[in-house]
Amino acid sequence: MQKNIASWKGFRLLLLGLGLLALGFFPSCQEEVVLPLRPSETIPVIEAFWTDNIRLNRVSVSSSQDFFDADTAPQLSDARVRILDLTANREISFFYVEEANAFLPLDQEAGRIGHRYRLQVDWQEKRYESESVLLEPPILDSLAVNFRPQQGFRREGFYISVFGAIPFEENNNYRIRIVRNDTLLNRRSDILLFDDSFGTEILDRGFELNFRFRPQDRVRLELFRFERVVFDYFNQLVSLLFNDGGLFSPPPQNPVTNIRPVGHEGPVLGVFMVSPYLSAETVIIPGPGEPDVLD
Amino acid sequence: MRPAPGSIIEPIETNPNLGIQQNFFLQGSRELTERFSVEGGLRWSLYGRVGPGVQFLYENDLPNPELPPIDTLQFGALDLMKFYQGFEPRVGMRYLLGPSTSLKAAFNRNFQYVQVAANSSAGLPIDRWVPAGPYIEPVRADQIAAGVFQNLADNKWELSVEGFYKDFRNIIDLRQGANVLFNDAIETEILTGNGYAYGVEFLLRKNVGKTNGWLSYTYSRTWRVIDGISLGQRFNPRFDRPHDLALVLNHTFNERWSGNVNFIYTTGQAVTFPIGAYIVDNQRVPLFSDLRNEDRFPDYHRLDFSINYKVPDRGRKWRSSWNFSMYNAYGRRNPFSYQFTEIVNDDLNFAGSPDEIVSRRPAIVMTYLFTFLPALSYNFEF
Repeated sequence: MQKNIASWKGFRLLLLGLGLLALGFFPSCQEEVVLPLRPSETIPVIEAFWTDNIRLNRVSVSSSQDFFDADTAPQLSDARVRILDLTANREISFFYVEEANAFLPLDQEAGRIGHRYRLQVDWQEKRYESESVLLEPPILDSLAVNFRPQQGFRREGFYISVFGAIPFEENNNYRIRIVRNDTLLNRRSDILLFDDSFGTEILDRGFELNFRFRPQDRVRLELFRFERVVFDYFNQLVSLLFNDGGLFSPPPQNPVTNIRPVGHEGPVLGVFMVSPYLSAETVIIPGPGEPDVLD
Repeated sequence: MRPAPGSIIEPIETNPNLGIQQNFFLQGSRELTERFSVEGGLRWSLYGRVGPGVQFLYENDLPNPELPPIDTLQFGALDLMKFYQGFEPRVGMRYLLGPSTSLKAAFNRNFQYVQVAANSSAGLPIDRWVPAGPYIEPVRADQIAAGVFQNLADNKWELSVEGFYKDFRNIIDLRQGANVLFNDAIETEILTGNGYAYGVEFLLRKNVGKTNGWLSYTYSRTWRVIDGISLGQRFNPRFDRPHDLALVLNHTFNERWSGNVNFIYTTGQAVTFPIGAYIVDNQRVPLFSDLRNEDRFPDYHRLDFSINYKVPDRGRKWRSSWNFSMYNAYGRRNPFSYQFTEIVNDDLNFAGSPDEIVSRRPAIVMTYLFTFLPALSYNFEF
């Protein structure tokens, strides 16, 4: 019996030794490489935000670039930009502001709920257009802050729940942006989208956001509502940004833009987002028994 | 995983896909002359897609990922949802040019009732098997092949050269951006078209002797033409690999020791790489072409070897042997997938907070599975 135990120990040592030997043979399975990528023609990238809040309204017109080019995207400042209010039958002109790297409305105008807008961008004698309606906003009641201890993958911290109501039967396509201490959270994982796939009661019950905050963080939540085509665009964008080639990654494709070329077939990238703007702010104040400082 | 009762999360449940296939087969052969023989056959294949299952109904019978189904049909167990059948003739001919040389030619038709839809990204290959059904017809493949076969040195060596052409009808492939996992309406994510493949295979084989093995080389191409993919132009599926070379050598040193060497070389698989990048919503986004699979992984090659030692039986009732093998002996880093991403702070696995970011640059990260893979095994048989 004792001999059997000794043999078993020896066998386990042998297995351990072989395992260590094998690990020695397996260096990192990832490395940076350089592949010869095919070049592309220059494609205009139009990113237009039109809301009922003057501060957010802007149109950026840039161009695509080489994959390995780490510089900021070249701005096409010679473009001509305007938005037509099709409901009120009037034109809103834009002018290029170098400091903003974008075109801003000439008269600091804002969109109106229920109006239909058409974006027109002319660049190098080619026109690009898109249309969308500025939808009614949902109801944003309040933000609640809760301290959550470490649980599974969720880190210890303060988490915000959004309370409100979605009184609409259709066009329930939403995006939430978070501004923390005056900095917009803009990593790919910060693009938060939701629709009515799981019903419209999500805000009634309190929608807890998976963003971790620390004590004294000043948080502003911004809520947008837009047409399905815009929602699909952002969904596809997120899908592409997270496309690591893994099991749940679909074949990569450019997000389908809602901007179309007019009178020609040239490609165009980007999105025209028309949305109402809602926001709410809070400061994270720890309650009794909750930590004053977090990593 | 099932959400808790009362949870607002709805579980994902997929419908079963069941099919029943039956085949009837007739075969005959005849020596028409001393030199010429013919072999023929006919297979009748019958396939039924059966319940339990759900068939979605679409406007104008056109599955569209952007539009929800207009209705559904529920089928009970073994209810017939769709039926296909087809005759699959085949004929083969052999003509002896000499005592050790023959000429062979063959034609056959096949219906394949289960197809595979494979992704085309540079990432992990994903295959989804798709049975024929109300919206997906079975693939029909017609193949002709002809070749010369020569035995040399009293049949110690075999030499053959064979060419083929294959025509596919109703072949499927994924739409751009298709979502194939946990998707019941798979017909909305695929498109149907035609394809063809052709090639030449060369084989030299040594059957006997202390050293035996084979050397094979194939040049082949596969193309598909499917409306809605790659602007309707022909494209290569992921598995199109023009050059495929394999060398297998076995050697017996003595009664106890033997060894084996394998070498494989193939053209890299056809995939889609980005052709640029752009900035939108503060994100750097890779830009893709409308053309599918215009790019290639680097060529794949590796050498494996193994050494086998037979333990003397010494009168025991069982025999045993030790085997040491080395996979990818020269440590070739064959890519498994590529990720087109940004490297932060020159660290491939940066996981710090945004405040710690010092630099950020676009990059390609390759994942490979193994360099060397040694294995030691002990085999015994009673």
